[in-house]
Amino acid sequence: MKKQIILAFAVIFSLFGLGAGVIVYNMMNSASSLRNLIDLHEIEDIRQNLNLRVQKLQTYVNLSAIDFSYNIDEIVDNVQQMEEAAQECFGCHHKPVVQEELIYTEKLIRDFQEKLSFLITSRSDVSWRRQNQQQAMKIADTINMHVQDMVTDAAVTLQQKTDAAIEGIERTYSLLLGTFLVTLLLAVGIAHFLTKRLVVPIDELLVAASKIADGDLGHKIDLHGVDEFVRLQESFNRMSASLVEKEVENVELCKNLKGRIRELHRTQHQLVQAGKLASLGKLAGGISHDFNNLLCGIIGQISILKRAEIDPEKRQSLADIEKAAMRASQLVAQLQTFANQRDWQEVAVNINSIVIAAVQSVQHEMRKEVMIHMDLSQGLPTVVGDPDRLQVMVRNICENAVQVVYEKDDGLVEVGVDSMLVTADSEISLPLVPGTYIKIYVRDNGKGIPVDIVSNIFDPYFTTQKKTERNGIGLGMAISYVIATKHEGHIEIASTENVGTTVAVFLPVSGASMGSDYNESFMKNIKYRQV
Amino acid sequence: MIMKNKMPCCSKIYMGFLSVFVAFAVFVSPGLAMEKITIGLIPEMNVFKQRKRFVPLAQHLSKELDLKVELSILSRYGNLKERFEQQKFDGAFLGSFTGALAIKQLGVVPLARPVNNDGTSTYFGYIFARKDSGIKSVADMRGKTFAFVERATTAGYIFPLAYLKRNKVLSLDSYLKGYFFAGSHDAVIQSVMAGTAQIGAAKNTIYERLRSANPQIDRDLHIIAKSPRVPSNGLCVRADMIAPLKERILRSLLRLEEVADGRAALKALGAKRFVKTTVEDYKPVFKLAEEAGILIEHYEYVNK
Repeated sequence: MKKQIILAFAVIFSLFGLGAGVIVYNMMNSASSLRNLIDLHEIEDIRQNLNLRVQKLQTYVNLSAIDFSYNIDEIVDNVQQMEEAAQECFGCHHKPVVQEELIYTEKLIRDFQEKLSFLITSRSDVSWRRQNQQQAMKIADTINMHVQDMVTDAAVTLQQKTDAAIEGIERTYSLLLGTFLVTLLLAVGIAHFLTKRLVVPIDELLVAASKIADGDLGHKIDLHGVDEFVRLQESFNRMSASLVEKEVENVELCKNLKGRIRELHRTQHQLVQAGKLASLGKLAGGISHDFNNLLCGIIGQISILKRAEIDPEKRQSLADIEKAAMRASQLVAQLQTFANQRDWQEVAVNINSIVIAAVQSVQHEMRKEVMIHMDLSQGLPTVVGDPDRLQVMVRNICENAVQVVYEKDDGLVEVGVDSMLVTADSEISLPLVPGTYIKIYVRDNGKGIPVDIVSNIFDPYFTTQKKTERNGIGLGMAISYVIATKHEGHIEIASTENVGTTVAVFLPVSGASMGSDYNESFMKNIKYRQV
Repeated sequence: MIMKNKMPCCSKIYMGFLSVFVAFAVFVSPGLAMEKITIGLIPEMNVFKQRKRFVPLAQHLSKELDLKVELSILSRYGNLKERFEQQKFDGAFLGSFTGALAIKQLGVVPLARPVNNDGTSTYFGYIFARKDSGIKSVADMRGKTFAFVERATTAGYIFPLAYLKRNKVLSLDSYLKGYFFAGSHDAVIQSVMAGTAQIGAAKNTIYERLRSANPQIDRDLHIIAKSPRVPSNGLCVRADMIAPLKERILRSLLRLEEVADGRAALKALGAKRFVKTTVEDYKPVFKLAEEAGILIEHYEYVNK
């Protein structure tokens, strides 16, 4: 394109320069002709002067002696100036023909001067005077005719030169106009051509840029045109492709970022929760140990008293007291579990069995029949963990669900077990290492948990139920949380008001495979999908 | 205390300025008072050429004298006295006889005359005739036509008159068939060349000049007699011209060869330099005039 532009301008300037050169040449010629004409017109005075003086010559020939006497200086001056005027002509005329004529005229003037001098100075010999007078007259006539011829020729030549000069000026004018028009047309044509060559691709680029700005990343331009624009188009296309790649990367990064943010929030929550639980655990641990000791004493004394002979009313009181103590002992056991004060077993556990035992335990204590639907999968891999605590975990969750639907006529609790594979690109994020997990879920169709308190479910002593003998003190979910996390699993709750609540526990299976791309980033964006 | 009469300082300065002014007025202002001077030229040759010869000299003198020096050519020798008397001339380049006439009759003062290229400041007259006329002596001149220049020229009239008288020709009218006055020396030569006259008399300088330009003159004419040398045409000025101006003119003429313009003027005149001229230099002319029977002091002339 650059070459084309340079070539185009070179053509224009060359044409213009050529035209200008020719015009300048013609103008110079015209100017020179005009100067010549001006000079010729200026020396027209010389010719006229010469002509005038020559015409006076004839009058001198007829002057008397007295006239000569009184006017000789004037006559001499006049004839002298006539000679000088003829001499001046030599300065302008260089043609041989004209030079010869001027030389002849000079000779005639000299001859006339001689004859006139004789006439001026001689006073005697009339015949000699008359002879000289006639000769002088003849010479004067010849000079007169000769000068007239020269003046006429000069006038004709002057007119011819004037015509030629005018013609030259008109020719120069035509050349100027022609050059101007041709150059203008050429310039317009080149401008149109260049504009088209420049504007069209630029417009295409602008349209493409607008499309990209509107979101059509990856929009490409067809390659066409001259080198520079083809390169520009290629660069544009590369830029567009690069934008797409970057967009994909950005989306990916954005997803990763969101995942990390969620992970951070979850981790933060977990840390907070863990912190709470740890603090409370310590407190509970301290209290439970001492309380357990007290309870052991009470239970022991009750055993002793039961062996004694007491009346039935007192025996019933003892039974109530023992029941309460046992219950308190269970509570202490839970507290100790919460505080991690009891040793954890690590054995292969069949989760189906755990779930069944937990549900049976809950049903056994219910005074009213509550529909519990179980959905268990066969052939599930085992989980390494503490079966008692796992059962406590499932039981606590089920108890909560049962309590929520206890008063409903159509209350339903669903308990399910399944396995699932957690991968790095799973859609739902879980704070779990990629691998196979057992999912235990408990779903109820109760009143649900308000959004503003659902995050507190796993806080110790948090409950949404009224305090009754049946309802617990709010440690069940906290203990379940501890048990789940202790087993390197995860527990989470999802609830919708007036619809129900689902609590899910994810436990890694024994020998759970870690993903092929296990590295620092596998904790990010852990999704799960149904296996 | 004696008080001396001392001229005050300012008075001394005033007197000094006044003296300078008076001297200026006396010695310089007359020159300044004259804005131009007119120098006359006698028509010894073609009046146009004669004028042209003196133009460079006039231009040089104009520069030297800081005056406008004009030239005025006479149509005839006879106008000389009239012009001087009418104060139209301040000076003139006069021939030997017109100079002598002007000295005796008008009291003009000769200043300087040119020195020819051959070193002489004099000239002489020729009497010449056509070779084919057979005229070799005065005796052969009887019944022939004689062309003179002017009654007021030495070479062109006084000399041939004296020569003829010396050879016992007392009356031109009776001895010659005819005679006329051509007006200038070159006109005499031309008229003899043309055959209008068989005998002519002219000054040698003009004869030689025409002869070098026209070899035909040597072929057609031969010299019969030569006159004694007389002073060449010199500048004579009015008697009443102020002395300082005369002095300046004389100094300028004598120094012509020292400056380029002066040398150009000398070349145009065909001269080497100018020399001082006095009345003494005109003695040969006075003698010739006497031989011709002319009393210069009372000489009045009219050409036929």
